[in-house]
Amino acid sequence: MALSPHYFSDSAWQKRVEDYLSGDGVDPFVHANYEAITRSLLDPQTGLRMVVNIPADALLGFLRTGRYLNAYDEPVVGGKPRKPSERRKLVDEWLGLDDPRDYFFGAVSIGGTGIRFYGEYCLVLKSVSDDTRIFDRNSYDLTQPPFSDGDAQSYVPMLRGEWKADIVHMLTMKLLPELRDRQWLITLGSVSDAILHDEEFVEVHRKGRFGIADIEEVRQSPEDEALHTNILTRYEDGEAPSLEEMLWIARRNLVRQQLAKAGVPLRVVVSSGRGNRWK
Amino acid sequence: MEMSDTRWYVESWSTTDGLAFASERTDDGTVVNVVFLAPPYWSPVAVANVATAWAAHRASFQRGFFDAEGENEIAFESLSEIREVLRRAYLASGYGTFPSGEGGEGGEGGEITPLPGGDGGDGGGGFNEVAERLSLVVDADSRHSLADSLQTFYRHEAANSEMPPTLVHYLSSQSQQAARRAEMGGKAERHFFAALTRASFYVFGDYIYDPPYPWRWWAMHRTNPSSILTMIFRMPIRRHNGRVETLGDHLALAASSREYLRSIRRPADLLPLFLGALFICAANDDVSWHGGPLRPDVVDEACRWLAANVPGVIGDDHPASAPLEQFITTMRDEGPAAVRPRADLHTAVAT
Repeated sequence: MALSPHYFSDSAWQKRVEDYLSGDGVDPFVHANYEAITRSLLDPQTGLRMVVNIPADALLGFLRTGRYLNAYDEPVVGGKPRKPSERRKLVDEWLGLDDPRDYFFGAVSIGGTGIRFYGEYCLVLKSVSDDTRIFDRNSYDLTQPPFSDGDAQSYVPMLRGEWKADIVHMLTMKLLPELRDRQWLITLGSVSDAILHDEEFVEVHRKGRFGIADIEEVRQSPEDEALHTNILTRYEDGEAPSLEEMLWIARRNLVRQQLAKAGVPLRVVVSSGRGNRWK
Repeated sequence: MEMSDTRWYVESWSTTDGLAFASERTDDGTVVNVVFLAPPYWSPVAVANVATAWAAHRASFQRGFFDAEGENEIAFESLSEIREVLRRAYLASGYGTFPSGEGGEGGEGGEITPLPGGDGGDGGGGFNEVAERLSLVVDADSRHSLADSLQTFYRHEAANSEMPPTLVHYLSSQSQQAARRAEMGGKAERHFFAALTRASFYVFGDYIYDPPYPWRWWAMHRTNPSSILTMIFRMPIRRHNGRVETLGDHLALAASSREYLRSIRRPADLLPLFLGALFICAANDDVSWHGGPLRPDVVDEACRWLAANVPGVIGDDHPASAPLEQFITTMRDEGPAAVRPRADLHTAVAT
């Protein structure tokens, strides 16, 4: 089965958007929403950011050393895998990273808490360089169907781009399913959810390590804050917490203290970033 | 639903943070299920795309869980076994979370002398039964038996032991108001463990207002549970390999390592565990701290708490057991940094 020629195209991302918008039968609301989305995404104060999720212990290490570590292959439990992952070597080769050790992976976000799976704290970077590479999905998806059913590498040029030139248009292409048949103006919350939702995200390949000074703020989700309060409330009511609950709370307290000491704001936001009542 | 001809594997694991992706695979390696697990409960969250698990290798997750030779991935019969491994490694990584005195070794209270040993009996009072059961918990029944043994032993100690002045002195010397606290601690209790618990409350009275009226600390103990949960990881209690260990460190070791539990060979070795458990479970004791011994139900709860937190599910013969114990040994002998990624290990791809 052929993939969508509108999406999977050799044309630049901007051209793909323009081709779509100039097509027959495109609703006027699509045009209006496209303009609203572009305006929102490019807003320097509230617009797009690269985010990196990180769990508490790793975040404390980052704050202690000032150095963010990307992947490492030294397991801390168990023996070292005899061979590196063939899958990983393959994907990195397809992506064409000139010196992979210098690349740090993240996601694109517009106000949310990032990909919770990779850590409950979401580091928001102040900026990235214009030529920062982006990929429209998790690059490991290339090893999965339908890509793996054919020549997966051939899709890479169609799915990658650079931050300044392509980010808005790439995201617009991803948002188009949301815009079709929509007879009203889209809100930023819907845009935010569509950009990064659950396991779906746009991958950012930042070249060069970042440090504490590069962090605009750290975000966390209300769910974690609610759980924190729930454990303490149950304790006040006489239910002694388990040791894992205690360690979880203690680390969160330490993260809060260390972020304050480092002068990095910590905010609680809902996943779409619309929770302005939390702070 | 777990299929009978499948096994579970760790796909990606942020060891010290307890986050992991686990997959259920058939004999031919086909992935039929992927879940995400995270502390503090490790409730499985279904993941639609295994590529999400692999992408974690680009973050702070190690790839898989291999045996010591690095030849084979360690297989698990059930998701519960993986959850126990994640839990134990996570708790073990709590060791050294808060270096004592914030300054690491030594702390600001001066040199900490080793905790006096040899007190608390000669192995009577059911200690041998406790020692035997501590490291053999695998199911609910063995946890109940351990809790019963701990309660029996504690009651025996409480009834027969006098508070050794050296212990009060030891604990008191850690604070800036040592003399006053030692004096007040001396009035507090006559029972060995209970008195030690009280004394330790006092030692960490940097949070107490001056003058340190005990009821104010007690009130804070009851009204600020978040502080209690953090403070337990700050309370210095012993020294190991030149490193000051806290009550939280010992609780973390007891909850994660059977080797640690097997090293408990005398009643005094149980002190950090009883102190920690009593400290946690006494938060709702409404007796003012100089008003008498701990309530029996608080003691019983502390014993049940200890029994509930020691390792279970995975036996010593499980392939995951040895690497876990090695992880803990490395951390305790070489320090918490030894089991965390280092700046020179930052390869984005395996080369």
